[in-house]
Amino acid sequence: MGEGFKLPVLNGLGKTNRIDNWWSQPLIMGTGLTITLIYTFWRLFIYDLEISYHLNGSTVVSPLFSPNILEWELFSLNEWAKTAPNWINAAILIIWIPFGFRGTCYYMRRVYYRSFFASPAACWVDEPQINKSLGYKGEKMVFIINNLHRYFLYAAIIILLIKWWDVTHTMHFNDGFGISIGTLVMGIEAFLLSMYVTSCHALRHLAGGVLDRWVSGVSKLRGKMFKKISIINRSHGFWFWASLIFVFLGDLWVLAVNKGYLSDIAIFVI
Amino acid sequence: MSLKGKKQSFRILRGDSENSSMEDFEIELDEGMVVLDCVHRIQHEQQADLAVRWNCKAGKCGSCSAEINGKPKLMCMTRMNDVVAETPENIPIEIRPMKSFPLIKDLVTDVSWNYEIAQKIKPINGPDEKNWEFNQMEADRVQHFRECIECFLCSNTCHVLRDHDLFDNFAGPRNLVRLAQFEMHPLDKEDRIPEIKKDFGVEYCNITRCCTEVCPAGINITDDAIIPLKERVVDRYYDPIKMIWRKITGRK
Repeated sequence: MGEGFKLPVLNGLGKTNRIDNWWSQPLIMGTGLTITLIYTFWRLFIYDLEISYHLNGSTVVSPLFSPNILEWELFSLNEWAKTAPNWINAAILIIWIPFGFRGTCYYMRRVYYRSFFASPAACWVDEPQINKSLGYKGEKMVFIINNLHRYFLYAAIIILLIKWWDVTHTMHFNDGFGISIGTLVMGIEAFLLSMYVTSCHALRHLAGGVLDRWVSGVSKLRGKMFKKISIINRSHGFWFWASLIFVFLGDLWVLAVNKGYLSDIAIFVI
Repeated sequence: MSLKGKKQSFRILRGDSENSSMEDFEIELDEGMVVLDCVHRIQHEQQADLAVRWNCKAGKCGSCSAEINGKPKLMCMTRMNDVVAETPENIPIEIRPMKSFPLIKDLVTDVSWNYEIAQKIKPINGPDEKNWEFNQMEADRVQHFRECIECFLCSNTCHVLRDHDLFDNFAGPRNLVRLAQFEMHPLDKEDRIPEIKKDFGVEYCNITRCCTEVCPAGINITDDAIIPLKERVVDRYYDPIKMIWRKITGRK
């Protein structure tokens, strides 16, 4: 460091010279994430009933429980489900994929380091003393798992494809092919998730960012993919929240239909 | 809202490495002023020895970085209309020097640490013949980083330096941008990944994005420089499939 006296940073959690409401964003985002975690726990471990409904031959599955792998004939999963312990459900078996993908997401890391670790809670706001006394290590120690983001991405892409497949199940009615409100709910959810996954930083890197040269043939194509993904990558945070919120809105929709508070209708059938 | 004739109070840090304190000033504002104009007016009318570093007054030289009401900004690009609007009545507008760097005098800090780190970065190592050619798409990615004006607001903002003082372990956002510019250069042959991880400490960044928020040149530091560098470090050190692939093929 150069010569001279360095001004002390104001010490202590929340100490800052800022005069605006810097605390509102981490508070809102932290509260939002906490609510989604509590709701997911309730739905997976306490009340895992009413996860889907049928409408005139079509099946609408809650986004939280889609894909419902316990109904698959593949690997005799449906047979195994009959003998599996009661607390097992489809979401418990696959939650590690969306949880891992979102948990290691470069946008999500910003949110949880700010909201849950106050590291820092907001820009130019001091961190709690414990963060300093523990010795800041950055993304090492337990946070080294964030480096596996691309592997969660691979798994998330598979889940995403199955989710689109599940959307088609909402379109097969006894009397033909059509669209219901359930189709729209699941379709919008699948679309938002697709945008969230395809705007991923790791995908952007793997698609073309890894290369220094985009000269000809495949490498040029990868360069173009990099540029396209870069455009939607700018709004990765928006797609993160939109897709997350819609998973839960979709689940509430399925619950509400099952409870009889709302009813689904086929908008058109051909 | 017209500011012409409005009496505005300021509280500015004055002092040097021996001792410093906040001092109050009041001036009459004119229409269209920026914060640097106000500092200059105080300097001209009241405190001729008030130290402030400035040059272009156009957001291009990166000299007049300071913290206005606790937010690091270029004084020449911060309009008084906005600052007055965010400051409650009867409360002075506070101006401090950048906190992460040693204070020389008043609003002037010593940012030489950034240059010392920059000197440790190996220069571009391209082909010996200087008829370098690459396409526009390749150029765009690295040209973007050359918009940096070296105001060092990003390094001042980064909590790794500001709160944790890891100046010996972490290169800071500005120098990570420089590393990204060289590492992604289409003709650079240098293998920079080991030093990006070990010497320049890219893993200390926890992507809270304050550097991007503060950049007056609009460089997307986190998305375009730091995260791609982190991904390249993952390629080399954390991706088991790529590690096995390198063992088999013998490629880096």
